Amino acid sequence: MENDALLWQKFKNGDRAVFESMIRAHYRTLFDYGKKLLADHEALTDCIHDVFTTLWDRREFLGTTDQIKPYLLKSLRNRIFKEKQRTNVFISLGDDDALFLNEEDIESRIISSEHTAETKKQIGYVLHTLTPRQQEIIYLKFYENLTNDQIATVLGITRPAVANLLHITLKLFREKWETLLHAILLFFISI
Amino acid sequence: MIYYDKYNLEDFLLDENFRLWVIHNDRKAGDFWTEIEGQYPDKKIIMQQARELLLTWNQTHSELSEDDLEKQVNRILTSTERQVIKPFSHKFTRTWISVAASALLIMGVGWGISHKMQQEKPAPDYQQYVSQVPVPMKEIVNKTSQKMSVNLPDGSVVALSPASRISYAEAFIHDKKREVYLSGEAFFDVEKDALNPFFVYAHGLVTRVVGTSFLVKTTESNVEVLVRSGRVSVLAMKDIDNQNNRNTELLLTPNQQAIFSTKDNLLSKSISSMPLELIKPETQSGFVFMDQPIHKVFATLEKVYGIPIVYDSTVMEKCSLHVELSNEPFFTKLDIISQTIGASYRVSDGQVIVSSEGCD
Repeated sequence: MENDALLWQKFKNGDRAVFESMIRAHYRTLFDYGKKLLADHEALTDCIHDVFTTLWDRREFLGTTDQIKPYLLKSLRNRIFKEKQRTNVFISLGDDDALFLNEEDIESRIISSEHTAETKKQIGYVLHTLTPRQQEIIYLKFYENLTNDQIATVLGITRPAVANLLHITLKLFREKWETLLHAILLFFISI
Repeated sequence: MIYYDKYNLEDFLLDENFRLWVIHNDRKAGDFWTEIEGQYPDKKIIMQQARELLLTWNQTHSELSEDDLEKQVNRILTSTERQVIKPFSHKFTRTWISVAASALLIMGVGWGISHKMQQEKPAPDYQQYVSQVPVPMKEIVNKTSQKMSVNLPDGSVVALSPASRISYAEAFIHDKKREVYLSGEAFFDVEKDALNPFFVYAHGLVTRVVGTSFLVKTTESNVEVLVRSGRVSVLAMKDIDNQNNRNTELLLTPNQQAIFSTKDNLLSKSISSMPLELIKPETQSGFVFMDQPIHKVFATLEKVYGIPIVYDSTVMEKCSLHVELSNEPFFTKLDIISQTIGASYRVSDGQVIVSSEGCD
């Protein structure tokens, strides 16, 4: 992590090579995360483009950070949220919770191809019943492997709030999953 | 000591060491978990499920092609290169803003001075009241720049703020009343004497107490009374002789605050911006809530800060909290709690009103 602090300082001093490696290192992460918030490919790449160009323009005025990845994720999240507010003037997006996409394809993307179609379907089914915010925190924790502190940065809530949300989400996930497995078992017994 | 026999699916998922084994194939962690699996055979299925979940979540392929990535990186690099000439316009706006800001600052200081000078003089109604009192009065004016401690004849202590003054009868207890006239700001620590209630008259507002501590702050347009301990009643001065119609009277408890607007004679109740802990939490764990139902959390806060919290207990029945709080200020605690359970709150009439759509 101290490496991040050093890289960030170099970037702030205008080091183009560091800036480029920073984009390369995090572009895919940002894209994958952003894809869950904003389905439109073009609009998303525009948003990521704007995040990086704004960072470059304002590099002298930025604070220090030793956590580049959460910092970038948070910037992108804010940018997408603003973009959505701008374009959907007629659809009120008052609640942050409405941000995470709730489409069929999320779970298919969260779920790898290595598992049996059956497990995939089960996990996907359960994930789908969670709220977008709950899906997002599972994504950040287990897909992006962020720490609770980093998730707090991205979502702009406190660390205890992250721990609580995770705890409750996973408990809910387990309960729903158990019910599902139980139902499947019953189904097999009955035939 | 961790009790793995109590471990549930979510506990395995959140266990750093468990994930170290599953995701990073850490050998040491692997040995450990194999042993645990042997020790707790009934956990085998749950562990297997947790592993599967973690692996599933962890292996995803991005749909961004290498070509596309390259194109996007270059696009960012090209558009940031052009920016080198841009700083000119940037600089201009910044200078403009700083000029505006310094102008504002000067205006602010100027206002502060004139405001302060105004405050040195007693409020007109203060002089009017004091001159009407038939008995000889004693007046104390704080001309220093610090708070001044004034001992009243009954043993009560007043911390008088700079540019403020109080007056009281030389024979302090008079007509079974202890009366103080205030212009400016003062904190009162009143000696208990139930037979002779203590009155503070300030800018059209009467504050009546038996024994307590509270702050009275007057500005041109309003009077604020903030209670630290005990109970205090406040009343608009115009209603003091009207014994039958005292509906404007407000009773304040600690950490509550009354704001009186002199212009329209309106009195409203609020909460101190920085409530103090009145008592220590009963339980040893204090503000550490492990999977506690929300009504317990609110009850603890109410007790410790003496501030009523109003919420719909049926809607919020399923809300529970898993959070560690310590000595954050009251409103920070409320922020954390409402963020955590996805609720919001507002302060109204000296109470906290929590609104929520419930929890799943």
